[in-house]
Amino acid sequence: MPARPLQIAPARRLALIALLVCAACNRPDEAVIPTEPATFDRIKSDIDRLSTVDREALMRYMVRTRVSTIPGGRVVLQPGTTIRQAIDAQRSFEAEQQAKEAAAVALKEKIELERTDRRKALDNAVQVVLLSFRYAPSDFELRRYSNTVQIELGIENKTDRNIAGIQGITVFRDLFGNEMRRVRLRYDKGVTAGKTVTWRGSIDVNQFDDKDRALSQLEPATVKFAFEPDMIVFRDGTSLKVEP
Amino acid sequence: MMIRILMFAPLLTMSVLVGSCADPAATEALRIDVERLRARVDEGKKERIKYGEGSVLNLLVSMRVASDEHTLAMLEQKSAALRWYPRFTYTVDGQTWKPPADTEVQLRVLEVELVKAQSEARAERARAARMGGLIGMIAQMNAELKAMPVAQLEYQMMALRHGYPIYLTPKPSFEELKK
Repeated sequence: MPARPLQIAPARRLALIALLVCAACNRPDEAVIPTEPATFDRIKSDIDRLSTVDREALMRYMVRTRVSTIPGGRVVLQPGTTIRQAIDAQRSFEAEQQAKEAAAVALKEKIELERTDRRKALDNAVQVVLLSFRYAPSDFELRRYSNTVQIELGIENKTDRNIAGIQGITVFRDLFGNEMRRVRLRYDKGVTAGKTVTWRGSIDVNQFDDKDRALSQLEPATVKFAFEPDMIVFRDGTSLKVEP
Repeated sequence: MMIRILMFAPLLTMSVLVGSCADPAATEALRIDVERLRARVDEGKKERIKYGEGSVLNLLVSMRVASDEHTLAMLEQKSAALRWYPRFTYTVDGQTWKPPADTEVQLRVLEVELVKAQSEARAERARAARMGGLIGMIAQMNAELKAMPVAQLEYQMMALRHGYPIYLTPKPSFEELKK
């Protein structure tokens, strides 16, 4: 009996070709993501066919369905969501986040710039210099009951307005630039426009504090002084201010 | 003598072949993680010495070290299995264990959680380092409590990354449930 060649009916042949064509055309991003994690392997082959960029975006989206470090970043995986929809949603979310971050950076830069300007204005308004620096040990006869460092400062008003008060931080450094002490200065006796005043004060020295002891032992001629103003109030009621 | 060599030759060839079947990338990743975990266990043990035996801090560090040792033991077992028997499988409740279908997603979720836990633990340690006395002790205890989830998350991550079951306790049998 002669062997019969395999015959396929034309209709069946067409159906088979259509099936093959469909299988070839089937886009991986059209697959629906299962909401049940245990059945996630149903779309594994589709995920493997995605480009690396799309795959990463999908994974980031999937992570967001379970956890998010960004407030409001958590997303609920709706039944019927396709891979493409998930990728698009992730892309738009990331674009939104980037826009927010850019806006935050711009705002930060603006604030920094404003602060720099205010700092500059403050620095240009007054000049404070250290005129003398002297360690004075406790002396009961002189009614000085603790060890102190006596300082004298010269304050110059470089503006054309009368200053009512100055507030800021005085910084004392040694010859090598090591910071020894920061002391807050509040001066409210006023300085006339363009004039200079002197101010005398003292810093208590804690004998049990290493830095305080080091401060008291500084050679006066080698002390490096700086003043960082954070607020100046003028007699006319206006003020210059920067957050310390 | 010759006969003996001939007897062992197929065995030797088989073991070499089996050894070479192991996935080199997986073996290397395992080796790196084993070394990292070993260093962490050693570090934890050194830290434990600082605290007196029986103290709360000693206990907390011991718990963290135990968790890391558990992870290390599983990794070493997996490493040995990969080396000598690449088709090694785990059986859980009488069934061959398979990694979860969404392993990659789970791994990424754990990575996010681990980063968060690590940063919290770091911040708590830094806070504790700035304090002294009784408050410092309490802060150190808090820091150790924060370090615990790091070890546990690490265990889960290693299990997913290297493919071994996370299960810690077997399910109770029917007879046990009846009681």
